[in-house]
Amino acid sequence: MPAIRATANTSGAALWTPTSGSHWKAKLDGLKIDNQSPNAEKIELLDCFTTDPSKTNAAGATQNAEDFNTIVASGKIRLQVTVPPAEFVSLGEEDLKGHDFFGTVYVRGDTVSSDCVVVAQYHHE
Amino acid sequence: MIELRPVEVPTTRPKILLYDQWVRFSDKFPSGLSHVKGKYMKVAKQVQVTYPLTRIIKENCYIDIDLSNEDGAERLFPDNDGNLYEILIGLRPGHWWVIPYFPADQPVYRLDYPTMSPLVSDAKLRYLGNIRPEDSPADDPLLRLYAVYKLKPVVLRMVVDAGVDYEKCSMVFDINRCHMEEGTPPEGSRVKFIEYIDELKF
Repeated sequence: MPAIRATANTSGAALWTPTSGSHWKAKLDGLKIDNQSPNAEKIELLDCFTTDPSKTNAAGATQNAEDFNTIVASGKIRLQVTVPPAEFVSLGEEDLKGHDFFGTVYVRGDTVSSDCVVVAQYHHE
Repeated sequence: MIELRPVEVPTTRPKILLYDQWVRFSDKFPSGLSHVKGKYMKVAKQVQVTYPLTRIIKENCYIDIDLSNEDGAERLFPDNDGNLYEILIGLRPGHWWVIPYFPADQPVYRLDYPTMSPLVSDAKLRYLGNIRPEDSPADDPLLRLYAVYKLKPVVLRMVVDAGVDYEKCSMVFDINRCHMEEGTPPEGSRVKFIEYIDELKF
């Protein structure tokens, strides 16, 4: 399974991007956050994708495609963890079960700090 | 006895048509499908082709997938009268299901009482006759369709349940592409009988 490293970034750093039209969901196997900065860091994992046009079950009305690709403004927040200064957080499979990702996944912190490192392990299924 | 879904449940991967195997098409195929109606045919060549299909759908919404060769459809049907496609349809896990329609807007699975047909706008009837990912998983598909040249459209309605926000729905089509030759099976041959889909709507 791949493991990707990124540092906290307020505009979002891409962790992985599936190929266009990917048929898989990504599932997290592990998440490690090493915050060596003097400030607490709020880490979010954002899922960015576009839906397909559909119809509503209730009335058959057109449901237009929706775009969640503007990372900070529209990306779906799938996970949020706040790590105190000089702390290390490790989440395993049990903690991450059910966090499915459909599109490009970004990690975003609430401050810019190269001292806060995020490593995500994931697989597609 | 009550069965959740009265289908054959094999203990291994479902068998597919193989080289040299005989099939017989039902007499109930319409006259427009005279190239197969009531005929015996033998598999002369075969090859398996996989085709995945994925849609990301908002909760409480649906998308119709037309498998035929019509404009804008997926074009998973044979394009000449000598071919038969045995299509195994597997669904990847998620909070969604499919409702098959043939032709186009008529549900395949319904009950006798006139109102007991699948209806996505109805809270109860949207679950009637549905096929869920656990019913036909992608790695062991049980939903099977036999498609011949000029078969009317088969539509799979992909429905996402309420309360799930969004769902990434994936189907995998394992298409056993068979080239058929008409003939008479030798005595004692095992012959697979292929019904017309309308025969399920008795």
